Amino acid sequence: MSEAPPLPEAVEVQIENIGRADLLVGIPSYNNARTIGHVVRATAAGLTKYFPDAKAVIVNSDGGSTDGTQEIVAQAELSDPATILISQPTTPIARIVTPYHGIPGKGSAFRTIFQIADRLEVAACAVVDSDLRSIRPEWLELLLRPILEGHFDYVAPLYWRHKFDGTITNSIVYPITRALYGKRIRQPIGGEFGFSRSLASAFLTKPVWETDVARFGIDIWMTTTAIAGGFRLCQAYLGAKLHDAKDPSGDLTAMMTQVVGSCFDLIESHESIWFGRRGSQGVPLFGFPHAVGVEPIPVNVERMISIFSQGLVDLGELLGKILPPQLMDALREAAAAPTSAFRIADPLWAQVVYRFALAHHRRVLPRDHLLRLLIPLYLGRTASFVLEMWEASPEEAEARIEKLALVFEETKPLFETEWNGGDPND
Amino acid sequence: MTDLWQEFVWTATRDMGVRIAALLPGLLAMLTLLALGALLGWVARAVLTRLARAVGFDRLSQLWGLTTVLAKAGISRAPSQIVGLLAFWGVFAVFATMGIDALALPGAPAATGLMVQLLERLLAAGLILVVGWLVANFLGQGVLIAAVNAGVPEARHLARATRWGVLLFAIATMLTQLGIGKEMVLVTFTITFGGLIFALALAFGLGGRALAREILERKLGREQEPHPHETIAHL
Repeated sequence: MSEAPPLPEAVEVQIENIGRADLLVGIPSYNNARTIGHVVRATAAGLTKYFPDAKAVIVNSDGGSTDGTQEIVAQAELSDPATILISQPTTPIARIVTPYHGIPGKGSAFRTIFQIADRLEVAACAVVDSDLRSIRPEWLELLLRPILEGHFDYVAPLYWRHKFDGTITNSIVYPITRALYGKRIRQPIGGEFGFSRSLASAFLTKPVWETDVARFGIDIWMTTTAIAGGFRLCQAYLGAKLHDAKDPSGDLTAMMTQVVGSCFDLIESHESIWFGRRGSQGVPLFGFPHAVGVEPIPVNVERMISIFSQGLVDLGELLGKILPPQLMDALREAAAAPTSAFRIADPLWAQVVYRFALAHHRRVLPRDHLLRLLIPLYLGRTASFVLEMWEASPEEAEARIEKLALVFEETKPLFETEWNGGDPND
Repeated sequence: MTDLWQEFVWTATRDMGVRIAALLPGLLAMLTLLALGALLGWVARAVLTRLARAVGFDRLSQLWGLTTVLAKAGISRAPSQIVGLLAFWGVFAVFATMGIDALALPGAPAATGLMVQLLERLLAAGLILVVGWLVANFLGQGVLIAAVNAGVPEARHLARATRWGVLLFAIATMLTQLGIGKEMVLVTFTITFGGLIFALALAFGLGGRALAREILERKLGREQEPHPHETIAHL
C-alpha cells in the first residue's frame, strides 16, 4: 500500500471536532467558481431533505483553484432560508474545504475524500462533480440510500444524455467493460458515485495513486475495482446530466490516454477476473427512468472523417503494427466512401478496440503513442455513429449502443485467443 | 673470397636467428593474447546475447523501431545477436591491441595508445548517435501523431523536421566528440539548426496564427469559448 499524504493540519482539527459522521459527500474541484455554489447548495438541500437525522459532512477537495472556488464553498449557505424543506437537519451539516496533494487531477482529489471518509468512519459516501448544472437534491438520495438501506457497496449513475454525448463511454468503455467483466454498468465513468466506507477503505489500499488513476482514470478504476472485488453494485437513475460549457475537444488526448489507458491497464491486472467470463448481467436500478429534454449537440462530422482519413494515410505504418492487414483494408474502404455512406461497422470497431488492448498489453509501441493513435479511429467511429443515428430517437440510439456492446461480447473469445498468443484464424 | 662469403652468410643467418629469437616470445605472447581475446570475446558474446534476450531487448528494439532500421539497412540478425557481436569484437580488439604491444615493435606503443583513445571516442560517439537516434524517432513519432490528431495537414513534414532536427544535433555532437572539424561542425550546425527553427517559427506564425493563439491561450490558462462546431463531451 502506498502511504497516503498527510491531511492538512486544519483538516485534522476539523475531523477531531466532528468525530464521527454518517454521511459524506465529496466535491472535487478546480476553477469551478461558476457552478460549485449551486452544487454545494443542492447537496446540502438533498442531505437535509432526505437524511435529516444523519450527521453529514460536505468535503470540497480542490486542486488549487485561482477563481475563488474554495471561498464560494466556504461561504455557501447550507441551510438556505429560501429553500422550503419539510425536514430540518437535527445536526448542522459540517463542511471541510481543503486542497489535495499529489498528482494534479480528479483521482488525487478523490483520494483526499476517501481519506476523510475513512477517518470519519462514515456509513455512506457520494461524490459529485463540481461543474454540474443539472444536479438536484434527489441525486443525493439516489446515490446514498442504496448504500445505507440496500447494503450495496457501489452506486453507479445512469443518466439521460444526448445521443451524441459521452462518446468514449458509449463506443469504448461501456462495451468493453461490460463484455470483459460481465456487468452492465451503463455509465462506468459517470462522475457521480455512491459507495460504502468499506469500499472507500479498499480504494485507499491500492497502489495506484501515482498513475493515470490519479487523473481522469479514477472513474473507470473505481467501477472496475468494485466489480473485480466482488462488491455489491447497483445503478441510480439521475436524469439529465448537464455540465458547465467548456471546450471538450481540447481535452480529448488527455481523456483518451488517461481513461482508455486506465481501462487497458485494468484489463492486464484483472486477467483472472475477466478471462473466460461469458455474457453479461444487469445490476439493480434505483430511481425512475424517464425521458428529459437535453441540449442539442452540434457535431462537425467532416472534421472527424478528415482526421480519420489523414490518420490512415499518415499513421498507416504505425497502425499496421497494431492492426492486421484485413482490418487496415476495411478501415481504408470506409475512408474511401462518400461522407453520407461513411460507416465503421460494429464488428470492425470491436476488433479495432480489442487489437489496441492487445497491443497495449504487448507493448507494441510506447503506450502514450499507442493510445493517441486510437484517436483518429475513435473520431471515425464517432462520425459513423453520428451519421447513422442522425435521425434516430434517443431510444433508438441507446438500442444501437446495446447492439454494439453485444458485438463486443461476441468478439471476446477471439480476443482471449489472441491474448494467449494464439492465432485467431485457427 | 670463399671465407668472406661464408662469414657474411653465417653472420646474416646468426643475426636473423637472434632477431627471430628476440621476436618469438613476443609473437607467442601476441598469439596467446589473440586466442585469449577470441575465447573471452566468445564468452562475452554468449553471455550478453542471452542477457539481452532475457531482458527482452529484441522486443524493446522492435518498440523503439531499431529492428525496422536494421532491416532497412539489410541486417537480418536479431538486435540481441548484434549486441553479442559488438561485445565479441570489443573484447577481441582490446586483446589484439595488447598483442601488438607484446610484440614490442618500435613505434607500436604510440600506435596502440592512439588506437585505445580512438576506441574510447568511437564508443562514446556511437552511444551519442544511438541515443540521439532513439530520441529523434520517439519525438518524431510523437509529433506525427499529435499533428494528425490536431488535423494539421503537413503532419509528416513536421514530424520529419523534428526527427532530423534531433538527428542533426546528435550527429554534430558525435562529430565534435570524434574531434572531426570541431569549428566547422559547430558553425554548420548553428546555421542549419538556427535556420530550421527560424523557418519553422515563421511557418507556424504565418500559416497557423489561429493555432498559435489557441496554444498560447491554453498555456496561459485563459477561458475559452466552446468550439463553434463541436461540443461533444467524450466521457
